[in-house]
Amino acid sequence: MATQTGVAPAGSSGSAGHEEIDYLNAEKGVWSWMSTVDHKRIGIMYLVAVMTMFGVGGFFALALRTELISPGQTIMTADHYNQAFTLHGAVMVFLFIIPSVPAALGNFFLPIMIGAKDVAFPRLNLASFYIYVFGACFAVASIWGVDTGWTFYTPYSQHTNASVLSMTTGAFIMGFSSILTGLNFIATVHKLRAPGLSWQRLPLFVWGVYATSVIQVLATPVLAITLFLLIMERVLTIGIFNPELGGDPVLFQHFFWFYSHPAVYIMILPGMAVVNELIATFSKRKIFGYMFVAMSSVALALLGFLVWGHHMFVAGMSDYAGLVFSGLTFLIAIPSGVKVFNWVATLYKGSVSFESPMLYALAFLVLFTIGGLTGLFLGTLATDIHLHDTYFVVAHFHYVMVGGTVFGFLGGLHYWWPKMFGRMYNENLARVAFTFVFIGFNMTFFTQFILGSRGMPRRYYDYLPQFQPLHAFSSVGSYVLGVGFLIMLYMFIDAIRNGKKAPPNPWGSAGYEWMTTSPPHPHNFHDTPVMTRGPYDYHLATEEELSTGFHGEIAHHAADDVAPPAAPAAARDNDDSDNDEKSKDDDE
Amino acid sequence: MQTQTTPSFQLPAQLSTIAPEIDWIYDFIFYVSLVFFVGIVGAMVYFMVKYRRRPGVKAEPTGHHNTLELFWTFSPLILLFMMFHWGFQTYIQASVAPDDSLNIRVRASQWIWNFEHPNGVSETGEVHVPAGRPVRMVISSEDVLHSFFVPDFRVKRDAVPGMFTSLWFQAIEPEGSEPDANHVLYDSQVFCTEYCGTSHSAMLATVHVMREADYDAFLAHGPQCAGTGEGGSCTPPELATWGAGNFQRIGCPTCHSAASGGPSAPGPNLFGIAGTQIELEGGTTVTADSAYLEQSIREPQAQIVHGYTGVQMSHFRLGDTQIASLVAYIESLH
Repeated sequence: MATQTGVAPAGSSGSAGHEEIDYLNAEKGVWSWMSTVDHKRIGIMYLVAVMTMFGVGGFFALALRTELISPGQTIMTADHYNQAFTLHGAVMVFLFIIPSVPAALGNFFLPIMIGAKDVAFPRLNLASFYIYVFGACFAVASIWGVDTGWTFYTPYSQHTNASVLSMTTGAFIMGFSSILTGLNFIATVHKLRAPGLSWQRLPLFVWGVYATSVIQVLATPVLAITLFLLIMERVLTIGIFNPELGGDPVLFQHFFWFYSHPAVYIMILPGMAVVNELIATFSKRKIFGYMFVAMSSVALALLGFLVWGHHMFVAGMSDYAGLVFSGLTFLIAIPSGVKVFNWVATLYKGSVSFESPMLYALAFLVLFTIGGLTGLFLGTLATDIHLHDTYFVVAHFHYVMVGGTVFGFLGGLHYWWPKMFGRMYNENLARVAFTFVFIGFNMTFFTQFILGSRGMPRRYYDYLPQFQPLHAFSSVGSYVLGVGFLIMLYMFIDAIRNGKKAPPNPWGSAGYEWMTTSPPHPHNFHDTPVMTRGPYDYHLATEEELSTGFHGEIAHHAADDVAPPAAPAAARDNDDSDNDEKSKDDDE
Repeated sequence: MQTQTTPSFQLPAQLSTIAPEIDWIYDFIFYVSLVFFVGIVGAMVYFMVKYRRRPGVKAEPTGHHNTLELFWTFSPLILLFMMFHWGFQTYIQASVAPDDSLNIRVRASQWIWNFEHPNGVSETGEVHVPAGRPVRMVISSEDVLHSFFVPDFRVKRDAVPGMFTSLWFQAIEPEGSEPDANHVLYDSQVFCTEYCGTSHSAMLATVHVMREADYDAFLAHGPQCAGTGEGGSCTPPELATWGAGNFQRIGCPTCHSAASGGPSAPGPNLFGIAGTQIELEGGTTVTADSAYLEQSIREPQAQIVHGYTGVQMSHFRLGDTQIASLVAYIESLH
């Protein structure tokens, strides 16, 4: 079994480098990072990449809001505005949100949370990262050129300037990164779970990332084909989407949303996955209705494939197609609702504390509820006629994508930060940043619901005077949001430079990833762990463990249940006692 | 259902027969959402306070509650089905135009709305419609995707190149409203809502809603008589005067100055050009007579003025009288 191959190297390296070997200091130098096959290092490289892209996308967002602070030209021309919203959308979707949780946090934690030494195909994992970077170069190369919106709708994308080619080539290439990461995670979850880790015990984060991977593998090829056809049509002038050549522009929309609606779930499921972990840890309680929550992820992943047409209710599709897509869209509200109800029920009779990761999780609940409920207006055919392509839609998907995914991602980043870098951050500063982000976000986007229901169309460079007060308010909100992110950036940099050393389990979590040292050993655990309890079994914890966390419980059982070679076992015992002492020191 | 002819906090005025029905569904979803939001967030906040961490108080283990799970999995389906059902019913109503509808052709192109009435009268950037009679807009696009959206009527439909789409509405006459000097009851805004390039946000038009008799008079006498006549009493204005208005409405000043000494970019200054010799691309010259001016509007790329090869003038689809009025206006610029 794969799990047993992990025993010998883990034990031997643990005994060889006795003093605080972790994945960060195990090897030195830039080359050791660039050539690494350690999933944790690859996760960190993704993290740096996606945060950089988040900065780029955020810069364009603030530029857009500044332009919209008053009607007419404020800081840029109409063409620059059109390029800015295209880049904001394309960068945020393809370069930030899609890889954010799965590729950065998922890479780091998925193997640890199933007690594996690495992902199933470590080299492929590194290849995925380089494919992502290569694709990103193409996308960034088209930085002042593409003006089609991130949707690349034909025939406009066939008429406008040629940077569309490099941008779509970039998205095409990045798709492969997404597919390969998905494949890797599916194989990892199926084959590398530690002994004792049954599907019923699988952490919900892993369930969420697993469901995401299934969509990535099945849906992304469709995007690749669509963009490939788009490129071919432009280069070879074959008629597929362009009516001048005998093509059909609505066909492009079907193809595009056949990927991009499942992609919405590629984006939101990992956010939900993180929130499961946060709510369980900070309520000290197993997630209510574990199996319903896990299965609702799978249901979202599957139903997500059947609702793409709700982006096209007024696009010239048949009315009966509208009927089918509207009905299926309402069905997808069910698993989302099940998740929210179960999260709230988890708080009931819990022991709830409000550290910054939990603040993000609770904010997620509020914002995702708004995002989900406003989806009902858009899934209903009659009201969608009025709201389609207005700011209402913009507000709706920002509540889901930012209020949902980004808040989940930030919550996860705060939660796992001590584990990833072995340093604590300034909790007060984290709460200040959270307050700015939460208030700024709502100021920016709640306003846009009202703008939209009043009839303000999206992607407008200029607008009628009646919309000015709300636009100005929204722009001010975006600055508050921006300030919040700057405070957070400072806080994290400060944590790396001056942060207190983090204990192995600062939140007293029962999750498996907290059973190892902070930062983790290069092979994650000193031994192959054996899971003798679930990741949320707080009822098994003693009084002391509830505040300082479970101590090495998994590793203790390793000696009993698996019969490893004798020599590494001895070394392992040393390590265990060592760890326990160290963590006690840190707690004091 | 009470029709609200002024904007509410969330929604624009209800100025078509379908608007109150759509808004009723909107309100239904809004209040259902509000109840759910208050319920979810209320419960969350209550639990946050009641079960906040206290020394010595442990979390209670999570049990299994299959009945509760099944209850909240399936019970929302009832509300969702109501939304779906009403939404579809009204959508079909909004899609299928009554047989006696007045058909108006809408041609969208970057970044102009052109309207053609059943008798061939055409307008650009504005359209006159009768109140109290169903109007069907048959929409097509000359270039890229556009979308015809009138918030006051709650209608929207994409203009797709290579196919016809349509929508219909019946504008209402609000109680106690009186026509203005131009016989217009009220104006409603048209937006383009499918991104279409540089001037997407400037691709606007106005719907002028008139009483049916005024609309018939408007049709009989053409757009130049809008607001001047009723039942055949129209004295058409001077062609050049009407042309000056068209020049503004169609949006010509975006590229062409009509003032003495005005800029000659992006398009040539039109002041005083009529009757002069114009040097064309390729070295030939032409006299800017009315035939040349008319051809330059109909086929902008046929005879390009020297130095303007890099500029592409949009193809405007205008009625013969409208073109004649523009030519008359340009000829009057001295």
